[in-house]
Amino acid sequence: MLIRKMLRDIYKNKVQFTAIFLMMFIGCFLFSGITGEWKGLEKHFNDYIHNQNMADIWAFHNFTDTDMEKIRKDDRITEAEGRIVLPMAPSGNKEASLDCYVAESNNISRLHVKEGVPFDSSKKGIWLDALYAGENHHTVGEDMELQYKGLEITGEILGLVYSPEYIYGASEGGMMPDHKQSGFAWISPKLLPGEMPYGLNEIVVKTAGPEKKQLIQDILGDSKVETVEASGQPGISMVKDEIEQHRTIGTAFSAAFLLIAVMIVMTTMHRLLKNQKMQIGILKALGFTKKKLIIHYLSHNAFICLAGAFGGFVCGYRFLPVLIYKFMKQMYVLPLWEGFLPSVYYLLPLGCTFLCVIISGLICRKYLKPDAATVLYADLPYGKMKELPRAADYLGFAGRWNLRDIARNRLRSFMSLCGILGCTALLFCAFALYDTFVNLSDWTFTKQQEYECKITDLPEEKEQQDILAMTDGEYLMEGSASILTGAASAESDGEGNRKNKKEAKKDVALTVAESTRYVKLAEDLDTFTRADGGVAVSKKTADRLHIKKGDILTWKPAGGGSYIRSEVKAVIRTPLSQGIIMMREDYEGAGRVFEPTSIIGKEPANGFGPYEDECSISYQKDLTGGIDSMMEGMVMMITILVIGAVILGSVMLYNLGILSYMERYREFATMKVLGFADKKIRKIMIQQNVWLSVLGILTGMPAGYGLLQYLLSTIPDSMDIPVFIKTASWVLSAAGTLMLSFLISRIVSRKIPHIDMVEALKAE
Amino acid sequence: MSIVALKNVSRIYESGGRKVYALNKVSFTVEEGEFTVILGPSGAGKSTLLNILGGIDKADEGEVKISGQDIAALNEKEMSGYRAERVGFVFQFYNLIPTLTVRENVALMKELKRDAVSPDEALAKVGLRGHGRKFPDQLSGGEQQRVSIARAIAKNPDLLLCDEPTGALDSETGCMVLSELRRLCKEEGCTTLIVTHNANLAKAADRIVRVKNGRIVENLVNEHPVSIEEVEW
Repeated sequence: MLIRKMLRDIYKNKVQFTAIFLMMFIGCFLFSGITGEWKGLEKHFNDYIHNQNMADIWAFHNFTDTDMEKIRKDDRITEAEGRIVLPMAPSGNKEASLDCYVAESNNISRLHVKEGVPFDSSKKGIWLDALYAGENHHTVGEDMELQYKGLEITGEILGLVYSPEYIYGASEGGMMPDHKQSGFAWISPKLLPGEMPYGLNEIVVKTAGPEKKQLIQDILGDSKVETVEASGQPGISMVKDEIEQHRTIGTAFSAAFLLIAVMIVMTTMHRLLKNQKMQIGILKALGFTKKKLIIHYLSHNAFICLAGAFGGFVCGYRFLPVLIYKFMKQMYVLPLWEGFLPSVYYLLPLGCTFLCVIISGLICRKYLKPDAATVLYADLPYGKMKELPRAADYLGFAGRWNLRDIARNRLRSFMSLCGILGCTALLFCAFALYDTFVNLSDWTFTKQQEYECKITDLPEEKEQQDILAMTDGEYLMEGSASILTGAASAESDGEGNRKNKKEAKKDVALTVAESTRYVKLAEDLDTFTRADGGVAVSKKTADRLHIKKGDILTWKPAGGGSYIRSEVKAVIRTPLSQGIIMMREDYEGAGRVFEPTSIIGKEPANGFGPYEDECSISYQKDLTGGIDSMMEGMVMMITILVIGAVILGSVMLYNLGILSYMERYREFATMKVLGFADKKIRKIMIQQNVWLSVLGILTGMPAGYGLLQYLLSTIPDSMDIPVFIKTASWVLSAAGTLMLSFLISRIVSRKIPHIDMVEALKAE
Repeated sequence: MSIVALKNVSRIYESGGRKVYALNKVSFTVEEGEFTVILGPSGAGKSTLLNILGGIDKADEGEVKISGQDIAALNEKEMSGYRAERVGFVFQFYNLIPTLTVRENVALMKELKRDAVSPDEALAKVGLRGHGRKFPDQLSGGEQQRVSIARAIAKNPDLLLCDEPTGALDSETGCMVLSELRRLCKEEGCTTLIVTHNANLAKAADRIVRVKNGRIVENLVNEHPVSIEEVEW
């Protein structure tokens, strides 16, 4: 019989129980979805780099066979392989560039074969990047022609492959990988002409102990060898960052929704038990034990919580990883994208239900503890009222009434505030994200980087001059540098040589420009500066290493030489290439040789002529396209945020509005009887919501800004996205929330005309 | 002219598919300034009668004239106006707003009627001067009912309708509350109708209306009403 009563109670309080169900559903949906996503990513990523025997160190230099032998024979090295890496252009697709690897073996950073046969240097053929092949409709068995500075290689495609070194495959200067224009290919040495004009320029090794960046330099005794360790490999570091970020985001969002669910459980239980005071008294008088009644009331929430938690858990794990992976696949390349949840996580729905049951149990105890007579006849404690300050007299009776009602129902009011705050924060964050990303493309390519094209793989000196003339261009040098930080920096001697053995060295990007004509130094979105006589440091690097304007930086470019001490003249915003930026004059003034890696300038009206084939040319429009693809992912996130905001706001406000209406039902009925018009009572009701909304919006804006900063902090360290928020976004998020709140209040307050005065006044 | 004039008033409810007459062709009048007691057993229809007079329920048939105006013909908005301007209510369970102070509860009437008596004056009339800053739950039952009376009379109503005003009070406090109502009726000239099942109260009334099974079985004028204190409880 009590089960029927329970079902009727749930039906009667359907709004509250629906809210509990929804919040529990969303909380578990987000948790299982996001956790399944990052756990799956972590598992398949780790499996991938482990199974493919990912290299520990990459070394770049012009190596000899003797170098190779030295490395192989060293005890600290377990495996080593040499490669010739050439940026080649596929014929028929002049704008594309493929990193082509010529090697005798592929045991380190082994290729994962999607189609065809595994790499075998004894076979004549090409193993092509599967994603490039997909975008450009290449298939196994067809012939492919590749060109590099007059060298032409033609061979059959023997396999379509993934490489663990190309998990993140954005081209230089780009944010998003463009698999149509860039990729990689492994070429069998058998395809090369008899005399290969190039030697080994990359060596990959597996180390016996923990990876150490200096190892290859130490073995070869050559400080000019540039090395990258696995942890610094963009694909590895970015995926690891992503995993960590998703873990934090998933936990934070799920916890927020579960907390809201718990709060709704608390208010619902209080209201249910208060309203059923008479029924509880009667049931007790009839002989129902306290234990039986507690089980009865606990079962109300237990079923709803379990259904919501279980449903959300299953749906989240089923749908969310697929959705998130759809967008992550644009950024990263892994052979397997599949969610994964360790079995212990399957206990979550039960855990959530248990938590709600415990909380409900504690509330039930309070109401079910007294004996039947006390429950039936004693008044419930109403909560002590406090006199308002004199200033409240100006509020009028409606204001004072609402003020005291808020004070009396603190939990309910706090939850409303949380709902509005969350709604505003999500809306604000969504609009601000949109503004920021729309602005990013525009700002980066019209204000910060004003060049239209970038030419890499520079030809001979004479031809370089020709390119400089046709593009009205400038040289640009891009590489990497090491910054000494903290104590290590302080202990370097006056000439900039390191003294400290316990060095704290950070690798950053180095950009040396001839002037600020094409590469501007932006302190913020509108303020541009210069760094004459010193260096500029990107904001992300400055924040990471605690560097500020005016500091003396101890650093050196990659490839050896002693340390340089330079004054930080500016901390600048740059979307890409985080590190040190300086002018050629200052760089050469520090005794370094300016070695340009590219030319930047305007796109020639008549094209690049013969240089189209000879050089790698990237155009601004291609890079803009990369940001646009990133925008697609962002639009999805924005949509989710807006939907989340509307659901959160609507459910919370409607539920709490109904709760407030039910709690004040008798008071509203009395007012109606006294002669107050429905319109006036509705106004009183809406007034309270407007107050809470204004307060929620005022607190929600900074919270939204914080959320935005947090989300932006989750993007890879190599990128910096300056925040740009239009006034319209501030207004829209505030107005949107207020409108939603007002709309929900109006809907709830429409119940006022239907108050049955006679019935409401009948019983205490 | 009678201040209250009911003619063939019926209130019909549907119950289990059949019509139940809460009031069945009720007709009676009350003169201005009278202290009227409506008596009857539980379920007789006396509260329904009061609700119809107060404009919180509507008659299905008949005329309900208050000072010559047929309120049965009023729409919702006009009915609110009627309640706000002309009727004062005193309920069995006081129905005070717990989040407003005593003074604020009474001051509510100023929101409805500009010429309402000041809350302090109304509270003074019921002997609660100095209690204005207290909250309802800080008062005894009798005091709360007196606040309810102060609230009702603050707007100088034509009709003061009291539904079992002593129902939740002990006899001593109940006696005090009724004395207050009677005194205000006489001093302020406010026509008062009290619904009760306490037949002894009839002795103190100017008019007694007896209701049974939805019909008026007696409507008589008491030529010699006694004081409330003389009524045996």
